[in-house]
Amino acid sequence: MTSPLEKLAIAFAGLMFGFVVIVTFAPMLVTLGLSIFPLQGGRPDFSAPSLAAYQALGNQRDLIEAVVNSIFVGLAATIISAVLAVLTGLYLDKAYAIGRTFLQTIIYLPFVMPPIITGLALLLFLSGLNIDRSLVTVVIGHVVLVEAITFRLVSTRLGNLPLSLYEASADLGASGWQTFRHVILPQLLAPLVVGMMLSFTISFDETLLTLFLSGSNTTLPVRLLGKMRVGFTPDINALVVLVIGSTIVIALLAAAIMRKNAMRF
Amino acid sequence: MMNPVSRISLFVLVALVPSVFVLLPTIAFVANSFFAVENGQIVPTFTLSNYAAFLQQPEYWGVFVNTLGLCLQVSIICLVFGLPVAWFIWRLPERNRYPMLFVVILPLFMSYVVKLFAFRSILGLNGFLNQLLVASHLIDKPQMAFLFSRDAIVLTQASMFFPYMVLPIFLNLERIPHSLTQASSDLGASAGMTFREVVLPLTMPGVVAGLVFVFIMSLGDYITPQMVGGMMGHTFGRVVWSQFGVTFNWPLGASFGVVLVLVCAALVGAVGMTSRQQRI
Amino acid sequence: MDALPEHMNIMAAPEPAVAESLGGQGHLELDQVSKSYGHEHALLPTSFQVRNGEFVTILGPSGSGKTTILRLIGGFTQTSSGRILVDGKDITRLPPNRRPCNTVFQDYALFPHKSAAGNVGYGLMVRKVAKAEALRRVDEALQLVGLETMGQKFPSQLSGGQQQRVALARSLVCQPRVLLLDEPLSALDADMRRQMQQFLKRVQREIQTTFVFVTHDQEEAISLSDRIVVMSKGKVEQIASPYEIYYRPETHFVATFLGDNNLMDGTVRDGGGVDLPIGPVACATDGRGKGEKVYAAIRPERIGLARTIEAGKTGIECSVAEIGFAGAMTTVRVRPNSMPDLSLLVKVTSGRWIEDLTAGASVFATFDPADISVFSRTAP
Ligand SMILES: Nc1ncnc2c1ncn2[C@@H]1O[C@H](COP(=O)(O)OP(=O)(O)O)[C@@H](O)[C@H]1O
Ligand SMILES: [Mg+2]
Repeated sequence: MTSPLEKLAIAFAGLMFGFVVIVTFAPMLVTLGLSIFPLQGGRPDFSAPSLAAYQALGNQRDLIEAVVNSIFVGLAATIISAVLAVLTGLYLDKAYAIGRTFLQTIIYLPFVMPPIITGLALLLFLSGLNIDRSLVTVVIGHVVLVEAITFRLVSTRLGNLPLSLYEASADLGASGWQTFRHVILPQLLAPLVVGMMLSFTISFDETLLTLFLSGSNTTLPVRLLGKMRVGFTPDINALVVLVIGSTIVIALLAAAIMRKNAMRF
Repeated sequence: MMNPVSRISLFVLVALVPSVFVLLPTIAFVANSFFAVENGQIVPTFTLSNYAAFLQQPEYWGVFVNTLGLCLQVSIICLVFGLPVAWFIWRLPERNRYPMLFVVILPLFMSYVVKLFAFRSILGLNGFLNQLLVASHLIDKPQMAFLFSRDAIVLTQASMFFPYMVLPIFLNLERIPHSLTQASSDLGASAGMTFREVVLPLTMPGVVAGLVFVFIMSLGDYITPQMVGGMMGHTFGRVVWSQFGVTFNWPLGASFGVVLVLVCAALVGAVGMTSRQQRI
Repeated sequence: MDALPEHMNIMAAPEPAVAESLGGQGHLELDQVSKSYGHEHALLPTSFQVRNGEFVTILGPSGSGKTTILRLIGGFTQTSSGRILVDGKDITRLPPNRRPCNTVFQDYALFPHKSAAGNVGYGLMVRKVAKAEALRRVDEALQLVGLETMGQKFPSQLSGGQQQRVALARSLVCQPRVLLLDEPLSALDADMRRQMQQFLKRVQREIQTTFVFVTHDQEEAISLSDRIVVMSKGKVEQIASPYEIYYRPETHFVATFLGDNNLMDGTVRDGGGVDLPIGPVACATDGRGKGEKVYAAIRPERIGLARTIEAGKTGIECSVAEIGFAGAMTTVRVRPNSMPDLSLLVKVTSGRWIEDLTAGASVFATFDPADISVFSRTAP
């Protein structure tokens, strides 16, 4: 039932879709290519693909250290922010909650402000308190940044739970804690897991804020940024490919869970 | 049901972290913008001189206006591609829609720094774009012009922030009930008219949200301009940054930051207004 | 069915001009139309005609293919086979925007960004009707549905019933030859629903446009329609007037779908009449051959109960099994003494002697053989 003109429009939009996918995936493909094909005089030598770069990963001591740092920061920020998000979500779900707008504002604020401002404000604040920059300050920055994501997912789900769920549970003799443990918590599992996965991937890639908050011991993106001027060697590219590959797997898992649970932001 | 003391302590428990690490720093930041610097020391007085400096010195507000132009350009390019792409995904059979949306979103999960580096190696003098163009005889010798130009910043940012345009537009399109487009067709409208009269007006909140998302991303991104823009990369984000990193005039930098936030707040407010106007 | 109560006839005389400008009496024909999704048949090959100015209701349980028929006529779904004609013109391959029919959607599908008047004027705008004329026709349509003061309101500011009326006006202003309505009243509460039923019927009488109306509500179908198309599992079971659908069912499905009924197995007798478990009955058999297996159906309210039987009249001696008082009517379940396995449902006007009945009491069930309808036991 599509008119010829509409078909033409769809075909044209499809071409744009293809073009956009090529452009946005180009960086990943370039990196993948450079990790497999050694450069010969500035050009990749397509005749000799090799995995040598992947075997030489161990040479990049400082980068591997940075990866470990990133994982630490990511896990710490994710877990702390998730606990805060769930507590806040549950609290705001109660009728007696006070300061609703206030809490929502300060939770969403770092997510809507440009990260340069969040970063600078924290930097200024921490240096005013004479706190040295370290991975801990990075974790603090990431916690306030990603708390908004899990909070949003959790509070949306809580808001969608019918009141009758609580009432039915109480009616069947469950205490407040039992209701939470057996009825509410299972409902929160999916948004919580998705929120944590998204939080981790965002924390893992965060650069704009981390640059202000980290000391000499820092995360992978900041380390890589420092290496950019000299250029990436094949083994750096290999490492990056592995890291991005894992991130994408996490993203795919998160998407699958969201789809299965019909979740929306 | 719960006594005031435990109510308040619960509130304190959940409000503590964001209050200490979001609210207080933001207040300190804003306060700083009213402070002065004397002999390299920050003096906590109240002065508007930082804001005055911003308005008076063309090197500041000039860069600011220029940067707004750049961000607008990035947003509009994203829109020009994002609207058709979102529409295309929306028109796909239902089961293909979310997988295809995911394909467009996926680049968000690829490292920001790596994307920058890749664009440098694509656009550079020895880059793939030059090699491709030379090999296909479109140009005789490699052009320096691709990298370290305003266009390079626009292209890189547009491709990095593109998913932020498609996502809100698509989600908005998804909210339009099928029966509305069918009703339009039933009442005699052609596909083009249905798009213009029903689909587009109802998608406006998504379009505005996308524009604002991309604009704010672009405005706050102080690394891309430097990495792919070279001399052209002196954007407002860098000006703010250099007040902290180079000249150590934090109050001046803070006042610039406040200006930046005010712009963002105004834009976010605009999104709120358009989405409230939507009556779906 | 034919004579409407007085109060509903106040507006019965249509202004010819209004009738002309708000639609037409189109003739609709479905010719072997079918629709399948993969291997699933949403609609088996179906043929029927809707006469000019008729109010036809498609009635059936959920999933029986009602919406499918309407969407095929409206052009939102492509036929798998067959032809659809309006006024003799084949529209099977036309896109919805070029068909002479309009649809009133179940969820109204009002454009949320346009006012009531904007919605009603939509079809005129896309047809590039001159401003002045469009304004006049929008006013006229709003007036028809009694919303002349609501033109500037947005759909979100209107009640369900008002939205319903806007949707109706929006379709009618396009002057459809045939108006399609897919369960338009199902979203309304019971009270509003009854009001809108009367309103729809009145509008249809006034403008005399051909209506094809879909519902799963039997009472709605019976009280609104000139004819009813009963559907089940993608197949048309029977097309007839409400009276015939109710008292002269032609299939087992129709006999049991609408209200309570008594169904008995029977065999056609030599020389007319049917052998039933309760004995031979001299009812019409429409020329069916001797020995044909049939069903015989009789509505509970067409059976009478009596304590004694007058000489010369026939009655079946039964014992009362169950009594259910339901206000004006009382339902009584009785078992013929000769056939204790059979149970007959009887609806009688409540009265003193019925009140005194108790389970186990002995009564006579009486009926007029003409009230028994007979139809084939093998599907037609
Ligand atoms: N788009 C579709 N894809 C597959 N099956 C469909 C589709 N639309 C309808 N059907 C099937 O066709 C049958 C008839 O549906 P429908 O016409 O909507 O029934 P009704 O309106 O009477 O409830 C149902 O079994 C339904 O599952
Ligand atoms: Mg239906």
